[in-house]
Amino acid sequence: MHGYALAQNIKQTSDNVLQIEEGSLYPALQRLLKQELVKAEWGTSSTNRRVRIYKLTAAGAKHLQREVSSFERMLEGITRVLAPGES
Amino acid sequence: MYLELSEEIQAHLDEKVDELVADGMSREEARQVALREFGNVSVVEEKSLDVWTWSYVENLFSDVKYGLRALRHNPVFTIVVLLTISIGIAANAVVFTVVNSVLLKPLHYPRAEELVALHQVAPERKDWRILRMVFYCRRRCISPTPSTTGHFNPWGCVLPARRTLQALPCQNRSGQLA
Repeated sequence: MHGYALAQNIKQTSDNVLQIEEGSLYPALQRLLKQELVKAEWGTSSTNRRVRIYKLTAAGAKHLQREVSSFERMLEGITRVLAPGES
Repeated sequence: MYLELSEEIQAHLDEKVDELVADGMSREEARQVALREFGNVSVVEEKSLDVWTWSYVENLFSDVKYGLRALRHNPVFTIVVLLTISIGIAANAVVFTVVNSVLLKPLHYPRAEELVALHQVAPERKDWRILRMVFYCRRRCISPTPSTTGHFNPWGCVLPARRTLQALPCQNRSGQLA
């Protein structure tokens, strides 16, 4: 998926809750490229435009899994703290 | 890489403008909104490229650390290389110092470029060797062409008559014949 589509996807999937700051999108993509968590290729978008399409690498998928599980643990912790009936 | 990034960002802005226009905005207004929401394009480009320049510096540091570690694992090689390089540098410095003071530095006299050395040309007779002297005199006193009149001149150049050779003014010398 290319840059603009990524931002739109996140915005729409999260129902406008998460909106990517467009100015920090491209530096973030470059950082991911540098760490080789994604790879980029030039292709054509659905609107017939020449865009750079980003794909997750194997290392990127592993990193994503680690981040997701650590985030879920944190979420669980917060939920337990905020749960009603605990003092 | 800079051109690729520039093209990418322009494509992003164009796509956003197209969407806003499809939603009913005018093209100029859509362009303004898209640019405003994106932020400063040059700043974004700079920040994106900084990611890579920092990586060059980080790679340089890690390469240097790796090199030092490899040297530490091979002490004999390290010592040999260090000795070779330092001896080479020292030899160069010494040779240059000698050449500089002997050949390249001008003599300590005023208008040193006018000084010439006179040598005897006819040393066949043994007594000439005792009298052999090398001294300096100002070029204005002599013409450095060999004599063509057939008149045998023990000095290799023509001296004007009745010209006394003056002691050259020197500075910062003590106890030496000029």
